[in-house]
Amino acid sequence: MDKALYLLKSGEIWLKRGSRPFFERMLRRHLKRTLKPYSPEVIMQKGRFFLKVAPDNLDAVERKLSRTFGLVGFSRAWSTSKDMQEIRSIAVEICGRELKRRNIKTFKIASRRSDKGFPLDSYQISCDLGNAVTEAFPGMRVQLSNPDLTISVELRDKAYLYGPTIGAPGGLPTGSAGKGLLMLSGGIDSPVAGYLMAKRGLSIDALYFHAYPFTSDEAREKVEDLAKVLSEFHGGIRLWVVSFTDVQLEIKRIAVEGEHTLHLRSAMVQTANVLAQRIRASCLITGESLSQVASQTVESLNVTNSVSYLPVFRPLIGLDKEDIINLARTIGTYETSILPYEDCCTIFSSKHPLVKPDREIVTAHYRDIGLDALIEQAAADAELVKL
Amino acid sequence: MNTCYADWAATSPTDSLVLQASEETAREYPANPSSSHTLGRSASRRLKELRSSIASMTGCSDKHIVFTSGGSESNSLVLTSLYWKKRPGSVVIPGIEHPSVREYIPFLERLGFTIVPLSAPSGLIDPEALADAVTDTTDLVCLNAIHNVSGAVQDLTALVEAVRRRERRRVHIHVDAVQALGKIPVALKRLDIDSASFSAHKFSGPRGVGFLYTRKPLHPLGSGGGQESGQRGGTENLPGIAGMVRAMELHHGNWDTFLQQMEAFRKLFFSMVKDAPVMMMQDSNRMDRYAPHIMLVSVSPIPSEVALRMLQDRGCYLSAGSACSSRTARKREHVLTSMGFSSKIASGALRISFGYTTTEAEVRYLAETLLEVTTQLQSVLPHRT
Repeated sequence: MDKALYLLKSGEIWLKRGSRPFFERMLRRHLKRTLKPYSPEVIMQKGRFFLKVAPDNLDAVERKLSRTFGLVGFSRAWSTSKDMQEIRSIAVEICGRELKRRNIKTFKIASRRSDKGFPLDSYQISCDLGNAVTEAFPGMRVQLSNPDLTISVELRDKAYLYGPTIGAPGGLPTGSAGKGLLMLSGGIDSPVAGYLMAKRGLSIDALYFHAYPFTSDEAREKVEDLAKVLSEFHGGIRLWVVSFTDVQLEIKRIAVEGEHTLHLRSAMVQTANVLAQRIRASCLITGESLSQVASQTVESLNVTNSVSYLPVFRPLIGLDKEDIINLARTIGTYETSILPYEDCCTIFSSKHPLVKPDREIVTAHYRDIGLDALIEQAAADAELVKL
Repeated sequence: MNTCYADWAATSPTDSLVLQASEETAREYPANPSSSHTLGRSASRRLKELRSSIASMTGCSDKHIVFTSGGSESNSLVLTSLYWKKRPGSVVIPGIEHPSVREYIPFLERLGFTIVPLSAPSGLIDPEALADAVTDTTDLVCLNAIHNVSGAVQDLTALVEAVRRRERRRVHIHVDAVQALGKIPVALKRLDIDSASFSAHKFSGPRGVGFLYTRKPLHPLGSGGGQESGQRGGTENLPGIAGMVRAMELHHGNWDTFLQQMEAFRKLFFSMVKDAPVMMMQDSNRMDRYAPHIMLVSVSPIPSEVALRMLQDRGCYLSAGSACSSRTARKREHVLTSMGFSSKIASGALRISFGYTTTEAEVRYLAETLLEVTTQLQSVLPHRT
């Protein structure tokens, strides 16, 4: 059976000059990996990205393409000989497919003729195909401005026809910016942070701190579900589950009232650094947003930042909660994030947490707790879940 | 590994004789009781016999029994029938009532009813407080026989008397009695109440079957195939009903033996955990007012869900009185605050409930495990100041 053809539209990659081949290579590699069950062939042709796949499950292919970073959109494409009869029948087929999918009434044909030897000019091609479509579907009307359906036609070495463009998230191909470790909780923010950094090309591993029996297995399952949603964009994800009960109990035992959360955050950042070194990640990602909670004030972030030798990316730092919620809805993590299983038991949080901690004092207190051995052990015992 | 199932108030394990009765009935009566052929009529006759058995064991007449899927649906039939009330008055709903009653408050308010709340210190509804809550406009009073969380046994005779004394016109008294049947005697007609809910799985019967006692036919919202005198549509669950009746027969009249056994277990349990950092949430001066098979304690400041996880890891299964991270638990916390407990105490509440097949070894194991778990947790989580 003939393979189905897609035209892929990459956005920011086109702005690159010297590094463009690198980004294209990364995109090609990502597509080949994530679309492996559909026997993908990625073809570069005169500055255009084409994808050929087995035609058995195009819905699944399109779902994956619509979640591929580095693409801003894609269209189903057909190539044929430069025979008007053939071209007409494909244009009619495209219109018929779209009519089955959605309620459309208007269309236009956008023609481009690179092969100047072709007997009809662009305008004539559009008229010819427009007539063919309206004859086949009398209910369809030509509308050049803002039509329900645009069928694009290109006359080059062969004739190419493209269906409507389906959107993709844009950004840069996965893995093109190196590797980061996402501190993933069960909340709304951290999955969004992971999404945004993956969109900028970071390959991501996720890290979750589990404190059984103080947090439930449902809380862990919720984090796994969130990681699964991210994995759809990322092409699989590795989730590291670190058992943090002993560290939390030690902090609870020793810490000064008001500093518990800061020490816990610092311990998590420190653990993330240890794990990042092991998995060769070169940055950390968190879902912190300025002043959202006591541990996310400038002063508190200064404290937790001080234990990290790796850069900590906080892509949500300047966003309002409402903006973050809207992003979470778009990505598809919101509904899972608001499930009631907490990722942190209230008994470990201070009644009156410090809002403006003194970095020198609190980091000194943190060092005095002496968590290094427990943290090394927790990171060494991290359980890997491949999603 | 040793285990202890101490969540009988949630669901009791189905008795094997009950399963057998259900299976036999399903095989012997394959037809729909509404069918007019001989097989259908045979099933209908069996249904009638079963209804009579229930009526005789609960002290009422056959015509007062409506088969349902259990307690929640039975409560729902009563509450939704208020939809047809032409002049909505008021409904008394104690704060300790089960969610299947309390969740109807927005519905009733929307219909124009005034909800009159009622507190129940330590789970016990005070007859005088109830009398004060009844006014000339009262249409319905919702009560429970044995409170599902605290185990409080309500003095129904006194409560009904208080309502009848104050009422100007007949007030409908509905009793959620799902925790009572099979544990204490139930004599419905003598009680002078108007309706009561029952659920088979609370007394080792099958899940998904129960009945409503109703003194007068109800006119609930749903309509169906006309079964149950038009009060509850849907083909009757004959095998389930047969199982329920078998379960009732197994425990009928054995109250004293059961209660004595449970009393012994309660004494044993409390004596074993007396040194544990566990607070009793029942009124210790009135322990005779609590069903001996249900105990309510608090392990605060340990959240109940944390204690439950550690207990389940050691083979002990019970329910939280409340918890910090579950929606249903928040509803239950409302129940506990209505009993007069602070949110802090409520967040550490554990409900322990024993049943027919609980053994002394299980009780001992649970007490030892609770002692171990709470002591261990308290040592790492000292009381907050």
